[in-house]
Amino acid sequence: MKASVSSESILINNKEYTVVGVSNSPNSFGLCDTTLQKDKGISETFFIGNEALLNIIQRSINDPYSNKIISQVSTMDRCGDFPRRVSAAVDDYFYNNKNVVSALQPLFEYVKSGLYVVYESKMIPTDGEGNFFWSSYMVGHELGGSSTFNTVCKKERSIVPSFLVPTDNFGAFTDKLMKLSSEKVKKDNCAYGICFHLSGMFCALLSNHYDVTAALMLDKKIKCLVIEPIRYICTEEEMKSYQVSASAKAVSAESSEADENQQNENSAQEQAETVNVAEPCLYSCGVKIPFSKVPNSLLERFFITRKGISGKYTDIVAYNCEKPSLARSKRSMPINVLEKCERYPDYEMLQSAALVGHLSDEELNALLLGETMLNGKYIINKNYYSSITIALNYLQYKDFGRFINFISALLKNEELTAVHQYVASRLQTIMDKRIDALFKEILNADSQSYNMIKPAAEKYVKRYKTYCESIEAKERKESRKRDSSHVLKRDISNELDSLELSRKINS
Amino acid sequence: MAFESVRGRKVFSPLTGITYIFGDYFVVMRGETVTPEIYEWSQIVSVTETLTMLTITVKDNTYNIEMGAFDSEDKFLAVRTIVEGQIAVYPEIRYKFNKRILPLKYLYKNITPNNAYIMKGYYDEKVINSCNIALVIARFGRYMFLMTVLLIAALFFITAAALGDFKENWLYCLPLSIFLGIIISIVLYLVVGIMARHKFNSTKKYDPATSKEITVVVSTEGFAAVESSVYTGKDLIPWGEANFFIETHAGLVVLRDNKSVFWLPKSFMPKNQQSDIFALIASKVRQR
Repeated sequence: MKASVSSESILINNKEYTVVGVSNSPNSFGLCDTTLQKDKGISETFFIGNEALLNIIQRSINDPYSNKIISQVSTMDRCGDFPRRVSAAVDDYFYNNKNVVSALQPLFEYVKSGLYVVYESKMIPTDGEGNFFWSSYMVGHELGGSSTFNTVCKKERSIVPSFLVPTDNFGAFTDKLMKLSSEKVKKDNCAYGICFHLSGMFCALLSNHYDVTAALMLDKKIKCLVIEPIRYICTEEEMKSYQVSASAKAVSAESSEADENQQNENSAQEQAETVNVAEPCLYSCGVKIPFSKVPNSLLERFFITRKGISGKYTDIVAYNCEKPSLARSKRSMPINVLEKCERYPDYEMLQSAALVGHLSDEELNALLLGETMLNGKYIINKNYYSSITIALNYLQYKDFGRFINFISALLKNEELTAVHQYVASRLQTIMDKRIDALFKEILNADSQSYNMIKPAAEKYVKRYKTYCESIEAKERKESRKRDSSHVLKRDISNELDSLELSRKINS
Repeated sequence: MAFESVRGRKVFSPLTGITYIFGDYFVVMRGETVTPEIYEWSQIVSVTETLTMLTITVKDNTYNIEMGAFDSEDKFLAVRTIVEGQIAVYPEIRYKFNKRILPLKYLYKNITPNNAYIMKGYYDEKVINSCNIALVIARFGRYMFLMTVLLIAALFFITAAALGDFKENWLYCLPLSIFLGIIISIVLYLVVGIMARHKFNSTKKYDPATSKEITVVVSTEGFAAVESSVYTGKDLIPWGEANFFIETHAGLVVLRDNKSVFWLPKSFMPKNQQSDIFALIASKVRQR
């Protein structure tokens, strides 16, 4: 029987989302439950046909807020003509201007039956902790931001999944394909792809891995079409409770400045718009869709599809996912790729930005005074340490200048020694002359309250020194290269002149 | 949760025009434009199954779904499976149900067997009857002799008292009371047998599963007997739930609290595997 696909386009906060209902499909790709022993954790596998591509393991059972272990088991090149289908879908949507459903039709005919939401999103080619995505999942490890519901925002706010998990074979990486992709990305000024949402802030990239890598190297945007299965709802009671907290935040969000570059994150104002209506919603990581915006026929599809449903491939996938990984590779990426990855926002920043939405100077000053409340409302939450952490993450992502000012004020306040150590450890990876100066100041200070962070400060100053030296060395090398090429050019032109002269003499 | 991979079912009631969806939630849809009412199973107070109706009670609402709303018996069986699977998670739901031939689904646990004997077939009335009689004998057989002796003694004293002179008449009374006692015992035995035979017929009236293909699973982790239409291969009743088993010439019955939970007719088993299956069951439950 052929799969039936029905869809509905919905506008939420001026962004278009397509809700797609799939029924009677052969369940040939998607996520399936491969848990063998529940006491050892819950295991899900992203599969295509028989091939188990990615394992997602949640160690603590019944805790939707615990992070998961994601690892690559197999590679897309073993999935028959699926890669070709995905590439065709990318071309159809991004280059041939087909609509979402007709472009993705060849994929939806095979995806597990159920309800999906499809939207465009800007992606980050890291694992959420500053590591290059393509080489980060060969060995499974716990990933921050991978929990079913967000640890910071809970179910209250949606955070668009932004971090990529590869499905392609990193071992087969070739410079030739990389060059081709670089040219393509340069021409398009962007890399395109299709992703399938796995868990939390993580999506499996189904195509165009080279393009994404090229975009990272060339500092271009990465735009993907995200296919996210809808598996949860927010009940009316839940929505009512969120509405109370959202309305409090919406007041402070009114004065927030729009940031064009960060179209992905939902500001508090946007969130407030969604939750102002206390009606049940379909919950996905990327968006909450009120029931009133979805036709009942699609809602029926959602309610009929049960979470534990399995398909004909489940048993073989459960067997294959236990096999040793086929995605191992000793290849490493150039240092500049890895350095560029470190500059991308991490999962904590995105979570904090989604939660906070806006922080005024008045609120920051109150935090610096050790307060968690301002005008009878919590600035972030009732825990001071957590408030500082979230504020730091938010500022680092949104406004680096204010971030530096805030940390220097925090470190200079000797009464806030409880947070000094966290701040000092957090700054270790950010190379900035202002931080260097701040740490030097701390090292020269006599105050005993700095004793705890002086080793960290010393470490940072050393690291910054080597960082500056390496940059200088690199610049010197580059200028030397430039000079030598000038000399070479001059030599060649002289030689050509002399050759021409000798030819003239001979003639 | 057991039976979590059974597909959700939509039931449209032509009498009320309401669509009900049974799945991870219980949903009530009153037309295309009205926002559906969604209930988590923890919100369900009671489920009552009668011959004509399935009634679901939520805190402030009661939904009566007439049996005619279920397009097919398979759909009803699937809905019943989903409901009982949820009752396993929320045992506070009050559940009233009709007579059953198969074990209740809330006894099942989500266990995927490593190796299992999977057999399919239809429950034959003769086999079930013979098993039922065997059950009756197992339950009352040992008391039958005692009852006969007591009956003979009672009849002896009754006839002696009725005839008057005990010394003269006891020789007449004894054979008469023995004869009557044996006759009455045989009649009682036959009545119990007829009742046991009738048991399947009465169950047949209430439980559509009696006419459906049944999948029986025996594995080291547990056992299962479910309608093939809802069999997913991931649900078993652990052996700990069973007390003992009885073997008859027609099959095998596993009992729990003196009630049968699992019937395994010999006709379901391939002949070359029968001894292995019996050995496996015997290693898990004691035989009576």
